[in-house]
Amino acid sequence: MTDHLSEAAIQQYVLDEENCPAWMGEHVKACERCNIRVNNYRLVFTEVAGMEVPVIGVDIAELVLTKLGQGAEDIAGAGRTVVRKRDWSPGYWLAGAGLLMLVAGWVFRSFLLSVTEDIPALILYVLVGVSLGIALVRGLGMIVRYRHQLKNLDLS
Amino acid sequence: MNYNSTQRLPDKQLVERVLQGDHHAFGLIVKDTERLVAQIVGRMISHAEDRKDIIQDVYLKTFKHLSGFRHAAKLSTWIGNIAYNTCINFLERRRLRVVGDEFFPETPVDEDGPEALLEGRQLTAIIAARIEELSPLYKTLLVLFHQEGLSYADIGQITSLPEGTIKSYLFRARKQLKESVLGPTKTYRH
Repeated sequence: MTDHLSEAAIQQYVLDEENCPAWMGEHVKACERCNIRVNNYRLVFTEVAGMEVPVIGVDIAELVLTKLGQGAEDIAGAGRTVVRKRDWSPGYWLAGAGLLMLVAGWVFRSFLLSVTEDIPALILYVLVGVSLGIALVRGLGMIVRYRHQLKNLDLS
Repeated sequence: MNYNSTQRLPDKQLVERVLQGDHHAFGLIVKDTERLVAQIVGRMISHAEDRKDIIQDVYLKTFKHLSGFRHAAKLSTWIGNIAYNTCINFLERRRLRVVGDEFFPETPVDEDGPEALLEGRQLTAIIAARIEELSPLYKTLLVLFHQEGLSYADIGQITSLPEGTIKSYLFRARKQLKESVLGPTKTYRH
Protein backbone atom coordinates (compact mmCIF):
# COMPACT_ATOMS: atom_id res chain seq x y z
CA MET A 1 0.00 0.00 0.00
CA THR A 2 1.52 3.31 -1.04
CA ASP A 3 -1.17 5.97 -0.44
CA HIS A 4 -0.86 6.63 3.26
CA LEU A 5 -3.02 9.01 5.25
CA SER A 6 -1.75 12.54 5.58
CA GLU A 7 -0.52 13.83 8.94
CA ALA A 8 -3.66 15.96 9.27
CA ALA A 9 -5.89 12.98 8.49
CA ILE A 10 -4.08 10.84 11.07
CA GLN A 11 -4.58 13.52 13.74
CA GLN A 12 -8.23 13.94 12.77
CA TYR A 13 -8.75 10.16 12.97
CA VAL A 14 -7.18 9.92 16.43
CA LEU A 15 -9.15 12.89 17.76
CA ASP A 16 -12.51 12.05 16.28
CA GLU A 17 -12.55 8.48 15.01
CA GLU A 18 -16.35 8.16 15.16
CA ASN A 19 -16.95 11.03 12.76
CA CYS A 20 -14.27 10.09 10.25
CA PRO A 21 -15.27 8.47 6.96
CA ALA A 22 -15.38 4.67 7.05
CA TRP A 23 -12.60 4.32 4.47
CA MET A 24 -10.18 5.97 6.89
CA GLY A 25 -10.82 3.36 9.55
CA GLU A 26 -10.51 0.59 6.98
CA HIS A 27 -7.23 2.02 5.76
CA VAL A 28 -5.83 2.30 9.28
CA LYS A 29 -6.75 -1.31 9.96
CA ALA A 30 -5.23 -2.53 6.74
CA CYS A 31 -2.12 -0.35 6.62
CA GLU A 32 0.50 -1.22 9.21
CA ARG A 33 2.38 2.06 8.83
CA CYS A 34 -0.70 4.27 9.32
CA ASN A 35 -1.82 2.05 12.17
CA ILE A 36 1.47 2.63 13.93
CA ARG A 37 1.27 6.39 13.27
CA VAL A 38 -2.23 6.42 14.77
CA ASN A 39 -1.01 4.54 17.83
CA ASN A 40 1.94 6.92 18.21
CA TYR A 41 -0.39 9.90 18.33
CA ARG A 42 -2.71 8.09 20.75
CA LEU A 43 0.25 7.42 23.00
CA VAL A 44 1.40 11.05 22.95
CA PHE A 45 -2.14 12.40 23.52
CA THR A 46 -2.66 10.04 26.46
CA GLU A 47 0.60 11.17 28.03
CA VAL A 48 -0.25 14.87 27.48
CA ALA A 49 -3.69 14.38 29.04
CA GLY A 50 -2.11 12.74 32.07
CA MET A 51 0.54 15.39 32.67
CA GLU A 52 0.80 17.02 36.07
CA VAL A 53 -0.82 20.41 36.48
CA PRO A 54 1.81 23.05 37.36
CA VAL A 55 1.99 23.48 41.13
CA ILE A 56 1.99 27.06 42.36
CA GLY A 57 2.92 26.12 45.91
CA VAL A 58 0.77 28.70 47.70
CA ASP A 59 -2.90 29.03 48.57
CA ILE A 60 -3.86 31.47 45.84
CA ALA A 61 -7.29 32.25 47.31
CA GLU A 62 -5.80 33.14 50.72
CA LEU A 63 -2.99 35.12 49.12
CA VAL A 64 -5.32 37.15 46.91
CA LEU A 65 -7.90 37.76 49.63
CA THR A 66 -5.19 38.90 52.02
CA LYS A 67 -3.97 41.29 49.36
CA LEU A 68 -7.52 42.52 48.74
CA GLY A 69 -7.97 43.06 52.47
CA GLN A 70 -4.73 45.04 52.69
CA GLY A 71 -5.33 47.25 49.70
CA ALA A 72 -9.10 47.36 49.42
CA GLU A 73 -9.05 51.13 49.32
CA ASP A 74 -6.37 51.19 46.64
CA ILE A 75 -8.10 48.70 44.42
CA ALA A 76 -11.06 50.26 42.73
CA GLY A 77 -13.26 47.46 43.95
CA ALA A 78 -15.97 45.49 42.29
CA GLY A 79 -19.23 47.33 41.94
CA ARG A 80 -17.60 50.70 42.24
CA THR A 81 -16.76 53.00 39.39
CA VAL A 82 -13.09 52.92 38.55
CA VAL A 83 -11.75 56.45 38.82
CA ARG A 84 -8.30 56.46 37.37
CA LYS A 85 -6.00 59.42 38.01
CA ARG A 86 -5.18 61.17 34.79
CA ASP A 87 -1.48 61.41 34.04
CA TRP A 88 -0.78 65.10 33.50
CA SER A 89 3.01 64.76 33.42
CA PRO A 90 3.34 65.14 29.59
CA GLY A 91 1.34 68.39 29.86
CA TYR A 92 3.66 69.71 32.56
CA TRP A 93 6.68 68.84 30.41
CA LEU A 94 5.18 70.60 27.38
CA ALA A 95 4.28 73.70 29.40
CA GLY A 96 7.77 73.76 30.94
CA ALA A 97 9.45 73.42 27.55
CA GLY A 98 7.25 76.20 26.10
CA LEU A 99 8.03 78.51 29.01
CA LEU A 100 11.75 77.81 28.64
CA MET A 101 11.59 78.69 24.94
CA LEU A 102 9.75 81.95 25.69
CA VAL A 103 12.33 82.93 28.31
CA ALA A 104 15.20 82.04 25.95
CA GLY A 105 13.52 84.06 23.16
CA TRP A 106 13.15 87.06 25.48
CA VAL A 107 16.75 86.85 26.73
CA PHE A 108 18.22 86.48 23.24
CA ARG A 109 15.66 88.70 21.47
CA SER A 110 18.19 91.23 20.22
CA PHE A 111 20.37 88.48 18.72
CA LEU A 112 17.38 86.76 17.15
CA LEU A 113 16.08 90.02 15.71
CA SER A 114 19.47 90.76 14.16
CA VAL A 115 19.58 87.28 12.60
CA THR A 116 16.11 87.59 11.14
CA GLU A 117 16.21 91.25 10.04
CA ASP A 118 17.23 90.33 6.47
CA ILE A 119 14.42 87.78 6.10
CA PRO A 120 11.08 89.12 4.82
CA ALA A 121 8.40 89.04 7.53
CA LEU A 122 6.08 86.74 5.57
CA ILE A 123 8.77 84.09 5.03
CA LEU A 124 9.72 84.35 8.71
CA TYR A 125 6.12 83.78 9.78
CA VAL A 126 5.84 80.80 7.42
CA LEU A 127 9.13 79.29 8.70
CA VAL A 128 8.19 79.74 12.36
CA GLY A 129 4.62 78.56 11.76
CA VAL A 130 5.68 75.40 9.89
CA SER A 131 8.35 74.61 12.52
CA LEU A 132 5.89 75.01 15.36
CA GLY A 133 3.32 72.94 13.47
CA ILE A 134 5.80 70.10 12.89
CA ALA A 135 6.94 70.24 16.54
CA LEU A 136 3.32 70.13 17.74
CA VAL A 137 2.35 67.17 15.53
CA ARG A 138 5.51 65.24 16.45
CA GLY A 139 5.06 66.02 20.13
CA LEU A 140 1.43 64.90 20.17
CA GLY A 141 2.40 61.77 18.25
CA MET A 142 5.02 60.99 20.88
CA ILE A 143 2.48 61.44 23.67
CA VAL A 144 -0.04 59.15 21.92
CA ARG A 145 2.64 56.49 21.35
CA TYR A 146 3.79 56.77 24.96
CA ARG A 147 0.25 56.29 26.26
CA HIS A 148 -0.37 53.41 23.85
CA GLN A 149 2.81 51.65 24.96
CA LEU A 150 1.94 52.14 28.63
CA LYS A 151 -1.48 50.64 27.96
CA ASN A 152 0.13 47.66 26.19
CA LEU A 153 2.51 47.13 29.07
CA ASP A 154 -0.51 47.10 31.35
CA LEU A 155 1.29 48.79 34.20
CA SER A 156 -1.77 50.53 35.53
CA MET B 1 -11.13 29.55 55.38
CA ASN B 2 -12.69 26.72 53.43
CA TYR B 3 -13.55 27.63 49.86
CA ASN B 4 -14.48 24.16 48.77
CA SER B 5 -18.15 24.50 48.07
CA THR B 6 -20.10 21.31 47.61
CA GLN B 7 -22.77 23.16 45.66
CA ARG B 8 -21.31 25.29 42.95
CA LEU B 9 -23.15 28.57 42.50
CA PRO B 10 -23.81 29.81 38.97
CA ASP B 11 -21.37 32.41 37.64
CA LYS B 12 -23.97 35.18 37.76
CA GLN B 13 -24.75 34.65 41.45
CA LEU B 14 -21.09 34.43 42.37
CA VAL B 15 -20.33 37.68 40.54
CA GLU B 16 -23.29 39.45 42.13
CA ARG B 17 -22.19 38.36 45.59
CA VAL B 18 -18.67 39.66 44.99
CA LEU B 19 -20.06 42.95 43.69
CA GLN B 20 -22.07 43.25 46.91
CA GLY B 21 -18.78 43.02 48.84
CA ASP B 22 -18.68 39.29 49.65
CA HIS B 23 -14.97 38.43 49.55
CA HIS B 24 -15.74 34.80 50.39
CA ALA B 25 -17.56 34.52 47.05
CA PHE B 26 -14.42 35.78 45.34
CA GLY B 27 -12.50 33.02 47.13
CA LEU B 28 -14.91 30.52 45.53
CA ILE B 29 -14.23 32.03 42.10
CA VAL B 30 -10.48 31.70 42.70
CA LYS B 31 -10.89 28.06 43.76
CA ASP B 32 -13.05 27.30 40.73
CA THR B 33 -10.62 28.76 38.23
CA GLU B 34 -7.17 28.34 39.78
CA ARG B 35 -6.46 25.09 37.91
CA LEU B 36 -7.13 26.74 34.53
CA VAL B 37 -5.12 29.82 35.49
CA ALA B 38 -2.27 27.63 36.79
CA GLN B 39 -2.29 25.70 33.49
CA ILE B 40 -2.11 28.88 31.41
CA VAL B 41 0.46 30.69 33.55
CA GLY B 42 2.40 27.49 34.25
CA ARG B 43 2.81 26.74 30.54
CA MET B 44 3.44 30.33 29.41
CA ILE B 45 5.90 31.36 32.14
CA SER B 46 8.91 29.26 32.99
CA HIS B 47 10.11 30.90 36.24
CA ALA B 48 8.25 29.72 39.36
CA GLU B 49 8.53 33.03 41.25
CA ASP B 50 7.19 34.96 38.24
CA ARG B 51 4.27 32.52 38.02
CA LYS B 52 3.21 33.25 41.58
CA ASP B 53 3.31 37.01 41.03
CA ILE B 54 1.44 36.75 37.74
CA ILE B 55 -1.32 34.55 39.17
CA GLN B 56 -1.77 37.01 42.00
CA ASP B 57 -1.87 39.84 39.47
CA VAL B 58 -4.46 37.96 37.39
CA TYR B 59 -6.87 37.69 40.31
CA LEU B 60 -6.34 41.26 41.43
CA LYS B 61 -7.18 42.38 37.89
CA THR B 62 -10.19 40.05 37.89
CA PHE B 63 -11.46 41.61 41.12
CA LYS B 64 -10.80 45.11 39.86
CA HIS B 65 -12.64 44.60 36.58
CA LEU B 66 -15.38 42.20 37.70
CA SER B 67 -18.02 44.91 37.49
CA GLY B 68 -17.25 45.06 33.74
CA PHE B 69 -17.91 41.33 33.20
CA ARG B 70 -20.97 41.09 30.95
CA HIS B 71 -21.49 37.28 31.02
CA ALA B 72 -20.90 37.13 27.27
CA ALA B 73 -18.48 34.27 27.98
CA LYS B 74 -18.08 31.81 30.83
CA LEU B 75 -16.49 33.41 33.88
CA SER B 76 -13.68 30.83 33.72
CA THR B 77 -12.79 31.67 30.10
CA TRP B 78 -12.96 35.41 30.89
CA ILE B 79 -10.49 34.89 33.75
CA GLY B 80 -8.47 32.62 31.45
CA ASN B 81 -8.31 35.48 28.96
CA ILE B 82 -7.01 37.83 31.67
CA ALA B 83 -4.39 35.22 32.59
CA TYR B 84 -3.35 34.74 28.95
CA ASN B 85 -3.10 38.49 28.25
CA THR B 86 -1.13 39.08 31.46
CA CYS B 87 1.33 36.37 30.39
CA ILE B 88 1.60 37.76 26.85
CA ASN B 89 2.34 41.24 28.25
CA PHE B 90 4.94 39.74 30.59
CA LEU B 91 6.65 37.83 27.76
CA GLU B 92 6.61 40.86 25.47
CA ARG B 93 8.10 43.07 28.18
CA ARG B 94 10.91 40.54 28.53
CA ARG B 95 11.15 40.22 24.74
CA LEU B 96 10.56 36.47 24.96
CA ARG B 97 9.01 34.54 22.09
CA VAL B 98 5.38 33.52 22.35
CA VAL B 99 5.06 31.26 19.34
CA GLY B 100 7.50 29.57 16.99
CA ASP B 101 8.56 26.32 15.45
CA GLU B 102 11.05 24.54 17.59
CA PHE B 103 14.09 22.47 16.82
CA PHE B 104 14.41 19.42 18.96
CA PRO B 105 17.55 17.40 19.34
CA GLU B 106 17.18 13.80 18.28
CA THR B 107 15.70 11.69 21.05
CA PRO B 108 18.54 9.63 22.53
CA VAL B 109 18.09 6.00 21.66
CA ASP B 110 18.50 3.52 24.45
CA GLU B 111 20.85 0.56 23.95
CA ASP B 112 17.86 -1.73 24.17
CA GLY B 113 16.24 0.13 21.30
CA PRO B 114 13.51 2.75 21.10
CA GLU B 115 10.87 0.48 22.55
CA ALA B 116 12.73 0.14 25.82
CA LEU B 117 13.33 3.87 25.85
CA LEU B 118 9.67 4.59 25.39
CA GLU B 119 8.29 2.65 28.25
CA GLY B 120 6.38 3.80 31.27
CA ARG B 121 7.81 6.61 33.33
CA GLN B 122 10.62 7.21 30.89
CA LEU B 123 8.16 8.10 28.16
CA THR B 124 6.17 10.34 30.50
CA ALA B 125 9.37 12.14 31.48
CA ILE B 126 10.47 12.53 27.86
CA ILE B 127 7.10 13.94 26.80
CA ALA B 128 7.06 16.33 29.77
CA ALA B 129 10.56 17.52 28.85
CA ARG B 130 9.68 17.88 25.16
CA ILE B 131 6.53 19.85 25.96
CA GLU B 132 8.66 22.25 27.98
CA GLU B 133 10.75 22.86 24.86
CA LEU B 134 7.72 23.95 22.85
CA SER B 135 6.92 27.64 22.56
CA PRO B 136 4.67 29.05 25.34
CA LEU B 137 1.64 29.31 23.05
CA TYR B 138 1.96 25.76 21.69
CA LYS B 139 2.31 24.37 25.22
CA THR B 140 -0.73 26.29 26.39
CA LEU B 141 -2.88 25.22 23.44
CA LEU B 142 -1.91 21.57 23.92
CA VAL B 143 -2.85 21.46 27.59
CA LEU B 144 -6.03 23.48 27.14
CA PHE B 145 -7.23 21.11 24.43
CA HIS B 146 -5.90 17.72 25.55
CA GLN B 147 -5.77 18.12 29.31
CA GLU B 148 -8.51 20.61 30.14
CA GLY B 149 -10.74 19.34 27.33
CA LEU B 150 -11.71 22.85 26.21
CA SER B 151 -13.41 23.39 22.86
CA TYR B 152 -11.83 25.44 20.07
CA ALA B 153 -14.40 28.18 20.85
CA ASP B 154 -13.40 28.32 24.53
CA ILE B 155 -9.70 28.36 23.62
CA GLY B 156 -10.50 31.15 21.15
CA GLN B 157 -12.11 33.20 23.91
CA ILE B 158 -9.10 32.68 26.16
CA THR B 159 -6.45 33.46 23.57
CA SER B 160 -8.42 35.85 21.31
CA LEU B 161 -7.19 33.81 18.34
CA PRO B 162 -9.42 32.73 15.44
CA GLU B 163 -10.45 29.05 15.46
CA GLY B 164 -8.57 28.37 12.23
CA THR B 165 -5.34 29.68 13.74
CA ILE B 166 -5.84 27.58 16.87
CA LYS B 167 -6.41 24.44 14.77
CA SER B 168 -3.33 25.17 12.69
CA TYR B 169 -1.12 25.84 15.75
CA LEU B 170 -2.45 22.71 17.47
CA PHE B 171 -1.71 20.59 14.41
CA ARG B 172 1.87 21.86 14.30
CA ALA B 173 2.34 21.52 18.05
CA ARG B 174 1.11 17.90 18.05
CA LYS B 175 3.25 17.00 15.05
CA GLN B 176 6.34 18.61 16.57
CA LEU B 177 5.75 16.91 19.89
CA LYS B 178 5.16 13.49 18.35
CA GLU B 179 8.25 13.77 16.15
CA SER B 180 10.41 15.05 18.99
CA VAL B 181 9.43 12.10 21.16
CA LEU B 182 9.23 9.32 18.61
CA GLY B 183 11.06 10.81 15.64
CA PRO B 184 9.57 11.51 12.21
CA THR B 185 10.08 8.00 10.97
CA LYS B 186 10.41 6.06 14.17
CA THR B 187 7.45 4.00 15.12
CA TYR B 188 6.45 2.49 18.38
CA ARG B 189 4.65 -0.83 18.19
CA HIS B 190 2.04 -1.47 20.86
